[in-house]
Amino acid sequence: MSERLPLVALALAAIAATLAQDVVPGLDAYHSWQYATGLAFAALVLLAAAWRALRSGRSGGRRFALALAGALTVAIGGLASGLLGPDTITVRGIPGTVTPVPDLGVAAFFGQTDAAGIAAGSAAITLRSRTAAPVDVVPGHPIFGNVSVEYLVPAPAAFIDAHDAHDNHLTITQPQGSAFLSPILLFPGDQPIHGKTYPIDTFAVPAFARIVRTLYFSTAETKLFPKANFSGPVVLFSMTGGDGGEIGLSIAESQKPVTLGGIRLEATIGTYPRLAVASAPPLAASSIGGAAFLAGLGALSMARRKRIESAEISPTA
Amino acid sequence: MRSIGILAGVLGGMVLLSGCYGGGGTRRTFDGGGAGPRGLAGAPAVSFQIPALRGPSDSLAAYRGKVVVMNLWATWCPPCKEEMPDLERFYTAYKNKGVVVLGIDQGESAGAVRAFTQHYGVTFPVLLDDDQQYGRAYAAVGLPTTVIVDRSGHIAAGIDGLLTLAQMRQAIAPALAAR
Repeated sequence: MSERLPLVALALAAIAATLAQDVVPGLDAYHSWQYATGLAFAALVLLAAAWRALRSGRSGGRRFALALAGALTVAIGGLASGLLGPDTITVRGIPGTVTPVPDLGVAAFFGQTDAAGIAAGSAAITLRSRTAAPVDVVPGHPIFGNVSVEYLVPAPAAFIDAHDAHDNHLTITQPQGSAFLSPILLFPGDQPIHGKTYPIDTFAVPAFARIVRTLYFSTAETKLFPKANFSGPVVLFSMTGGDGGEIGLSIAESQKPVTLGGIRLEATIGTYPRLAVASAPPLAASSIGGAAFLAGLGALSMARRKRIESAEISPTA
Repeated sequence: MRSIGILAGVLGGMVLLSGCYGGGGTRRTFDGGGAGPRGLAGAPAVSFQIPALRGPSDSLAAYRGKVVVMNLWATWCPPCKEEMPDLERFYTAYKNKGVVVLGIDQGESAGAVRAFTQHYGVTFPVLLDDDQQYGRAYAAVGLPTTVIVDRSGHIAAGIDGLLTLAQMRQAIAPALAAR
């Protein structure tokens, strides 16, 4: 048994490296030559060991070969997924809109949300296709397909509310974005500041001919403003008039209104999901291979226990 | 042993393929939206229950069975102001022919909208889309945006920009002709 332990350890390592693609999906490492070489090496060793165990002609050898063949199946699935699987894609959609995802052959319905939904980061994305029932992808619960895994990645977002001095609600537009009539900023741009980049988005308040560039700072990044002592993420509003002239700057915490250029702006800061699609080991290879591995080891263990029991009985018989 | 050699060759080939994979270039990000309302034709028309200018609340779904000319607008929008008299004339001419005009103001207070509709003598139903849900769902790329919804609740056409009375008539003709 002791000579089998290193092989069992190698089999477990290969299975773990493969299943990592399901547990922590989307890492570039799965597509690297190092990962492929490691799994290929493990697969070769397992293949040779399984062949040797099978050829031994003993029943224990056949059981061990079954376990190793199971691990080999899982590892080959992981290798194929890493080498030949699709790129990891991230789809950024506007709440309430539909975006085709050709890689999956589905349309992604980005859920409607409001200020509370942004604050809670609770929005979901529904995948619809002509051939299958709709599938809801919700935060924290990845969906495993045959050769891919779909999951949500929370990304910075802010719901903007604007009012004039008489408390009249004002329309927010995003003339430069792909969502003209959305009060939800998704910060698709990057603004370099002192060698670091920060998410940035822009909206307009057309009734006042104002353009507001909005920078997002995460809770950790608010240390840039040491005197302020913010407890959560903040946004920095930089307002210009219709003529391009600077009107002012203001930093806003979530749901704490600030007044700039005669407009009261309130940002509810939180997250809105992006849809990520990463390659994953074939479900059939993982489940059949995993079952074979467990069955082989289980059979070995049972046979060993029977042998021990019969050895304990035989001296008194 | 020969089969081991073959399998080893296959595995080796896969490892070699990894050299062509170009690690680090495996992430793509793309943005949805941006197609504008024209791309919506044929899709089911989504509906949201939102406050109405006259009455507690209303929605597009309430008009199922009629041809709906849904017009997204705002009081600050110059082409919307220009279009409004024609939209009212169109509504008056077609309201008894199974057509309804549904005005959906984007993100403004009831007071501002009421003053605007009184100024232009608007009599068609107006909804107050505070969170701009209709604007997002119908992929508006500007204002005004007009969406023609057929009797079955599907989008017959999505039109960006101002329409004249003649263009409105032309736009609803296919949806009116359809049984």
